[in-house]
Amino acid sequence: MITLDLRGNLPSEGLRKVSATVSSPFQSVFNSIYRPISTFTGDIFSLGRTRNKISNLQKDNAALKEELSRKNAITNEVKDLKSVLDLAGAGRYKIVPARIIAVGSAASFSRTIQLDVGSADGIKKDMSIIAGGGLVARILSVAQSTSIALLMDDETFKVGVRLESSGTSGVVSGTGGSDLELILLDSTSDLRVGQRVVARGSVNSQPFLPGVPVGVITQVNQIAGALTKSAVVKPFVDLNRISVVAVIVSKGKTDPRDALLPAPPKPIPTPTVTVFVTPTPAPTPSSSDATQ
Amino acid sequence: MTKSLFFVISASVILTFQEVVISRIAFPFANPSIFLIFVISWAFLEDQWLAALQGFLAGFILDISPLSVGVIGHWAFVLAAVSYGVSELGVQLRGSRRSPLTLTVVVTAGIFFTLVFFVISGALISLNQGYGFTQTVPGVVFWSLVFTPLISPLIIKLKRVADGVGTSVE
Repeated sequence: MITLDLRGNLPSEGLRKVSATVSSPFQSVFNSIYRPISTFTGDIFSLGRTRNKISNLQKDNAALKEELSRKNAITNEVKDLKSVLDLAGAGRYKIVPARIIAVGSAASFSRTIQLDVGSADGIKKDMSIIAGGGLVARILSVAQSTSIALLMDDETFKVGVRLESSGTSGVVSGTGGSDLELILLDSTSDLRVGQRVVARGSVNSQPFLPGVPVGVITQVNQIAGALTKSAVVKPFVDLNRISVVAVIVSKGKTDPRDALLPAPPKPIPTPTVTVFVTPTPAPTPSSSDATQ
Repeated sequence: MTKSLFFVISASVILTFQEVVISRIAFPFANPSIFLIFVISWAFLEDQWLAALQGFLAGFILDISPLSVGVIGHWAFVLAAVSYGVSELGVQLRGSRRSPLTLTVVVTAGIFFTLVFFVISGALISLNQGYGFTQTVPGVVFWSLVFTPLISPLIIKLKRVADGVGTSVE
C-alpha cells in the first residue's frame, strides 16, 4: 500500500474524504460530550491562576478608582485656585494661597478654620481671606506655620459694605447659618432683591479691603417704621465647601470699585410664539342663503 | 491618674479627628460633635468625682484648641459640671449603664444640656456666642442620636481598656 500510494495508484485523498465524512458526526457527538468535561478540568487546573488574576484585577481596579478620585480632587483644587488667582489678579492683590486643614466644631457656636500658612509666610492678624467668589473670612490669630480665621457666617463677624453702583453703606453680619444679614444705615435708600454687595474697606485696609465681593441680596425685610433697612444676603462663596483660599497680604494701588463682582446673570430670553392668523372671508348672508 | 491620662490622650485624638475630618463634612443642619459624644458617654460610665475631673480636662482641651474663640475655662467649667451630673445619673442607673439605648438617650440629653448650659453661662459672662442656638442645637442633638449608637461600642471598649489600665497600675 505504501508502494502503491507512493506511486500514486491509491486514491488516498478520496479514502480520507470518505473517512472524514463518516467519522465527523461521531466526532461532533464526542466533542459535545467532552467539552464541558474539558472546561471543568481546565477550570480546576487553572483555578488558582484565575483567582490570582481576579484578585490582581480587583487590586488594579481599586488603585485606578483611588487615582481617579485623587485626580478629581486635584482638578477641583486647581479650579478653586485658578478662580482665586483670577480674583486676586483682577484686584491687583498680593496673595498667599492656603489650604483649610481643620474646621471648628459646630457645638462651640463659632465658625473658625485653620489654615496651613502662618507668620513664616507673611500672614498677620486681621488680613482678609478670599476664595474664587469673594470674601470668606478674616485672620484671628497667627502661629509660625498655621493661622486661625473667623468665617463670614460666624455671628460675631461684621463687615462694612456698600451696594453695587449706588454706593449706599451698610453692615453685613453672620447669622450662624448659611445666609448673612445686611443692615442699611440709611432707611430711605433703595434696597432690591438681586443687588450685589461689596466690602467698603476698613481704615488702612485692615481687616477688609475695598471692592471685595461679599454676596447678593436674596430677600428684603420690610419693617414699617424701622430706623434701618435690613435684608438677607447670600454669600458668593459656599462656606461649607471651600478647601483652597487665599490670604490677601497687600492690596493694589487703586480701589477696584465694582470691577471684582462676577458678571451678572444673563436674563433668560422668554420664547415668544408668533401666530399668523389669516382671516377667512366672513360668509355674506346672500351666499349662506344660496347654500341653504 | 493613668486612667485620666488615657482619657486625655483619647479625647485629644478624637478632638483632632473632629476638627480635621468630621467638621469639614457639610452635614445638614449642623455638624455632629463626636468629641461631646465621647466625653458625655465616658462620664456616664465613670464615677462622679473622676467624671468631673475628666470633664474638666476635656473642656480644657477644647478651650485651648486653636479653633476655639471663647474664654479659656468656659468649656472646662461646663463639661466638669455636666460630666458630674451625667455620672451621677449613671451611678443611679448602674444596671443598664452599658445598654446602647440608655447610653444614646442619656448622651443626647447630656449634649442638649451641655449646649444650653454653655450658652446660658456664656451670656452670663457676656460672651458673644450662641446666637445660632436654634440652628446649631437641634442639628447637634439630632446627629448625636444618630452617631451615639454607632460609636458607643467603641467608647465602651475604650473605657474597659482604660479601667484595665487603671487597675493594673493602681
